[in-house]
Amino acid sequence: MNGLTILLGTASAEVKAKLSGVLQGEGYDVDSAGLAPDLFARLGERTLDLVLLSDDLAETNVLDLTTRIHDLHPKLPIVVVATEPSVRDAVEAIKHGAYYYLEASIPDSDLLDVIAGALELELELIEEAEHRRARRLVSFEDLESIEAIDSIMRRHDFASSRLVGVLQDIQKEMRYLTHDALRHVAGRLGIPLPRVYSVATFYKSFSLKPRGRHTVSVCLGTACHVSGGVGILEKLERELGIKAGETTFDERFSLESVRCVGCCGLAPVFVVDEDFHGKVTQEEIASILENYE
Amino acid sequence: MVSFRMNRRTLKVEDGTTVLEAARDAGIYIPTLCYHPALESVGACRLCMVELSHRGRTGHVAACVTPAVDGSTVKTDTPAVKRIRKTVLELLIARCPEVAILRELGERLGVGEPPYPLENEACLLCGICVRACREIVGAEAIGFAERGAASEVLPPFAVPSARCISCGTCTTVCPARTFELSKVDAVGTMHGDSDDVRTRKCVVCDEHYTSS
Amino acid sequence: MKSPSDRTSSRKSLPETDVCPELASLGFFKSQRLLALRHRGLLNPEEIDEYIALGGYAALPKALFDMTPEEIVDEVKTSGLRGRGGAGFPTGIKWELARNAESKSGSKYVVCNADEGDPGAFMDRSLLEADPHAVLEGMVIGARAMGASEGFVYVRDEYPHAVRMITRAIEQAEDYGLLGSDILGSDFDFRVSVVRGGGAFVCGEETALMASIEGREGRPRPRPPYPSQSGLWGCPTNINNVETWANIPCIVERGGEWYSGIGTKESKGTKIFSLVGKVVNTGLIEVPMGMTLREIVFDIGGGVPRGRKFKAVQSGGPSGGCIPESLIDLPVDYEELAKAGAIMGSGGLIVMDEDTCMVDLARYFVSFLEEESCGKCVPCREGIKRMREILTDIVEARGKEGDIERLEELAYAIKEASLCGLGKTAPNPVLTTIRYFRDEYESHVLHKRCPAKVCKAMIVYRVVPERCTGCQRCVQVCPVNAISGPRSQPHNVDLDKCIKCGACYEICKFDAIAGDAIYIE
Repeated sequence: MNGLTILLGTASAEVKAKLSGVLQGEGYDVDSAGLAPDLFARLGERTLDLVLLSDDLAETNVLDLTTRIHDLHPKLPIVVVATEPSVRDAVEAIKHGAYYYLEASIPDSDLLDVIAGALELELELIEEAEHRRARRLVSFEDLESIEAIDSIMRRHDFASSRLVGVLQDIQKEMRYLTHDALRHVAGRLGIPLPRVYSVATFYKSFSLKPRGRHTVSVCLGTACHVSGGVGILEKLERELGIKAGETTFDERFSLESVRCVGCCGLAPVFVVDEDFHGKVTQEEIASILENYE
Repeated sequence: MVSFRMNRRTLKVEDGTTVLEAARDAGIYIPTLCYHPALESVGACRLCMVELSHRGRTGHVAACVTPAVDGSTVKTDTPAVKRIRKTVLELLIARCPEVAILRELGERLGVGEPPYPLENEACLLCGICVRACREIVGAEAIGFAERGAASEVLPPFAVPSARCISCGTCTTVCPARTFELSKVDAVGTMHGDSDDVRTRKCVVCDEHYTSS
Repeated sequence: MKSPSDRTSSRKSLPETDVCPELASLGFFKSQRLLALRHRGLLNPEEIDEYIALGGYAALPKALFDMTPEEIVDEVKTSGLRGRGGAGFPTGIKWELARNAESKSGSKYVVCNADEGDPGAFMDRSLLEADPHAVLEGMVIGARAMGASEGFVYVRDEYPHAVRMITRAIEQAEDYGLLGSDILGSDFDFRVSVVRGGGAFVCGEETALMASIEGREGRPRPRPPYPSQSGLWGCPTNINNVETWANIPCIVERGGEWYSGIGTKESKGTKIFSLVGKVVNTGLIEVPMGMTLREIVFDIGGGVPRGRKFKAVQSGGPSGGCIPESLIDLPVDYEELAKAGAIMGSGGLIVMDEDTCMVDLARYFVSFLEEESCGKCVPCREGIKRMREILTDIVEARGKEGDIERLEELAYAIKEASLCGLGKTAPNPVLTTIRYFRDEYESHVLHKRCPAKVCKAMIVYRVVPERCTGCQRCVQVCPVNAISGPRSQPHNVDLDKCIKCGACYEICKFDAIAGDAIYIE
């Protein structure tokens, strides 16, 4: 036994016997289901490492099934085994979230190769997740944060056009956008992940890196520029020991420069969270920062 | 039908034909990079700038996204047009000095070494691969990330995308040959500089392919 | 939370006199004419009743019951109102295009552009915060004129208070039947929602703004098709700036003829400017078009503080240009500004004195635009980057002969070949500063001298021993311990250690015993 569990979805006893044999011979633990509801019950009750779906399940389209499983468990690799393979289905299956599309007639050694590859990918992702946990960051694995994201999307009616607003609210709640959060949003709003990623990296208000509890934004609008805004920014950089765009080690402050916060009459200005500090001098800065824990 | 002047000729084309398509049909040369006949034109590289005069107003427009207008006059090689193209091409060469197609265009347009510090990017950011992946393949595995001078073409998070079907389309449409299609073993790299990834086998020919 | 406006109230109060002065007797207010800002400071923006009590929502029933949509469009055309967001396209003609455009799905949209990105301008924020119903009323009238049933207010996320005010105003207007279905029993339906921007200056550009509303990254696309033909989700869409919308109720109520009586031949009405920088009275002002810069800067603004010499006004934000002292009698309208190489833009007027380095200012705007370029087209993405490199070399004393000409060559290509307005106007700050302050560029390039003593690579800080009382304030604030000297003895700046942060200069000038003992060479 290698400790890895594969869920086999097939209605055919023949396919089940053949694949179970091959997989068990390789040390995998195999569980199987012949109907979609059973399949989802298994998904809910035990930890699985991979799903192998045959296209012979009664009353269920294997592509729809792939999408549903992928939405629920975006990290769980899904391999589709086709008894009647076609190029079109292969492309579709991949687009629906499958890791691989195989012909049922493929040699056992190739099947095992594919499965090993899929599991390797998953292990990389697990390592990445553990790495994050070790750094005590907001972890998406917390069911709470999934629920929080879902409720944010609900407020926006799960409308794909509200992507920017959804990401803003997630950013406010979780202080930054995790990769998992972006994947989850892409899945639920039905937007291809590359588009979500483009949006998340295009706009300045989003961060894909952890942010501090307080955001210090130094205005470098024109009025602030001619009134010494750069000096204020440099003073803050020295005071906090970080450069603009960075976060202090204790995650207390993130420092950034912004282009005009619209109170040019008070230049030079810097903003901590939503508090505006106008007509500041370099000397006052340390005492202002003391107010933010 | 639309009738308009291009240089010293009168052209007649279907409604909705772009200035660039009309020029190509008439055998008049306009340089392009981000244009691909099978894809939606986006007017990104600005090499196809031409002078357009219509109703007493004259200005420069990108030929690939400007429909030919009845009664207008287009000039494709005025001194001003050449001056614009020269700067645009110099900027591109300075970004990607090693890309062959830029040097070829440089020879044709008489543009040599750019007067700027050279970078060494492989990608022109023309977006043809992104559009092909979305419009033709339908996989939408790659996209633009970041913005401005920091823009890049990437799969999400710069890791191999689960949406990529290793079809190789991006490699064949790329004018800079940033990607190359190669037959490989089961492990190779995909989309430029990302890490090794397990490649997929083509369901038709049974070979492993990847773009790198 | 402390909003910026809370803080302004804490500023010095007027000296006590026997009678309270009237607004009109104060230089700052005397020559202003308030139309868009008509309710400034007079109402609580959170209470719709106060807006109604001051005559608000009177234009709406007139537009709904006494006028046909065509008549509304005609009234706006007669008024001569032009887009207040920057380009100055005639609003009435824009409305007519959207009105006459056919929509395949039957939907049309109107949008209020409050993505105020120009550094130095804050009239959109102020209008939304102080008088949100005026903007909404304008939008409902516009929607009626163009046959739109849905509208969006696209606000910068950096303006949280403005977002709250406009959101609350929408809720109240819906409660009063002034928004939603069957408005005032007229059978006309119109809904408005608020969309927050994601932090991208380029989203002020119409096609980028629409992409952002649709949930995509804000990269502009080529025109045609124009938004009036194919905008949001492929439907005819009309986008106007906040200030434009806020003018509409006035025009409908008092007539286009009346409005066109204000201003100049080509530029009608009033314009809000944010008068900031090195000027005594800073803030938003609203004046008739055609007022001279001199009146604005010296009569309203009270001139340059601390006896410094006036040098230039920067108009129109990063896409605008610098207007030198020699053009101080320029009447401010769309045409005159364009002739001077600047633009109206959204109305930022930043006053500079002799302590502002024009090359450094050009570099500032260019690096702003470099960060904000969407990166789609080559001249804007690569060209602005190269301009910034050259300007950085110049201000860091690495300039070489030919740099100025290189900048002009780049400027030409960027202006002519860029895809959208951001790129097409990006060279303006460079071109105008070269045009009017070429000697400053030459001084940097040829003599490695910064006449305004701003560029760090070309200056040193020194102590005037005769003036220094040895108060040690500068020693305390120096972050790198570059200043030494015992108490009561003249201090000394170690030029090797000095990072030229200016902290000593600042404290000596305003806070030290002697004052002005540190100078910049």
